[in-house]
Amino acid sequence: MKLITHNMLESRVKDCPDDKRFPLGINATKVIEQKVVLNKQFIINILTKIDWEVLLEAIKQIGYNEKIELPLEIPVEIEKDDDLIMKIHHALLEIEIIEGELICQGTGRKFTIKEGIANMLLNSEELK
Amino acid sequence: MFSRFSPILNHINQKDFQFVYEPSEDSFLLCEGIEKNINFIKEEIKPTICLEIGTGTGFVTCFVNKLFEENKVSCFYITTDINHKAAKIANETFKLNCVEPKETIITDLIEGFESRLKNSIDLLLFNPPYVPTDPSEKIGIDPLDQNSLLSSSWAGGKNGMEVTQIVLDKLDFLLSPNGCCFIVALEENQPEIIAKNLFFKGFRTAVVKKKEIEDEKLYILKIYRK
Ligand SMILES: C[S@@+](CC[C@H](N)C(=O)[O-])C[C@H]1O[C@@H](n2cnc3c(N)ncnc32)[C@H](O)[C@@H]1O
Repeated sequence: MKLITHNMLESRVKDCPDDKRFPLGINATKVIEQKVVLNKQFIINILTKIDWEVLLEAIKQIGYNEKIELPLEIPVEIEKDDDLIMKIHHALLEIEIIEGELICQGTGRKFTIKEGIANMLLNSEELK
Repeated sequence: MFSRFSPILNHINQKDFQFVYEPSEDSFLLCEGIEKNINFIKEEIKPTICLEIGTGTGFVTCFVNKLFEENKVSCFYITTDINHKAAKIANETFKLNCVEPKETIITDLIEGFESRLKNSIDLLLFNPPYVPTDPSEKIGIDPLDQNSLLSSSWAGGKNGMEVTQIVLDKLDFLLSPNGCCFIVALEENQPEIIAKNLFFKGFRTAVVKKKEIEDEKLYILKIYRK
């Protein structure tokens, strides 16, 4: 599971208070890095949908904050900063959580990530 | 189906198709419908996020990725399936066919994504379980019943619309301003009624492909904002 996806997922557990649904905590036991072709325009487009603070926190949670240094805020002139775009590309798309779990911050419910695939299925009692 | 965009599926054994939907005429027709609309997609939609619900083997998203690459369209491919075996096979299909950037998630339709993807999906693809089934037959997956993995790929409940309708009801919330949805429907799903209902919610529906196979009449519907 990529960090871009983590930035889009929330907990749908019935008992979770609404303000705790997003973001999910991450406990990663196996993380790999893998090359993905850079598309600058895609990164610029997707940045409008990314919660930057959540991305920074996710990088920290998987222990990559020393490997990937990102600024605290997205610079206004991001388009001219190819170096930063490359870093964001790397953080969002090239890091894969292979094994681990996502944790609902409101209920502690864990969603497993196995072979790179997160399982968000809830049982009927957990559903709204 | 022979197309230069068809993915390699060598990693899948015949016995996997006991648990995962094998790409069939409906899958192929959906691909053809999307291919026919490549200029529309490229010029009008310019997709950033492409979401396929119920990806099965991943055939359709793979096809779309190859078609898009040739047409210099690049987006993030999100796929979901309620069947964990399908999700695993799809992920392998994507790896084998170099589909990137992609994500596969096991979930019910798009549960977990909704709020954050509000008005963000540029392309939504769904070949749903569309076969009308008796109310006594369960739709969806029963964790205790292996057979439900495959039956959930076709069992559609009343008019075959029970699963599809949930997605159609969310379209306004999910689709981006230029976003578009391609779905498979059967004659029994009553495409005219689908179109009429969507019209009142602000959408146009076009039949982009139609095919009769044995006793099934398949439609590919393209749904977009008026
Ligand atoms: C007709 S098959 C299509 C498979 C593949 N997209 C294709 O075209 O070959 C329907 C797929 O939807 C999945 N499905 C059924 N109900 C679902 C649900 N509630 N959420 C997610 N996927 C679902 C099934 O597991 C199956 O893979």
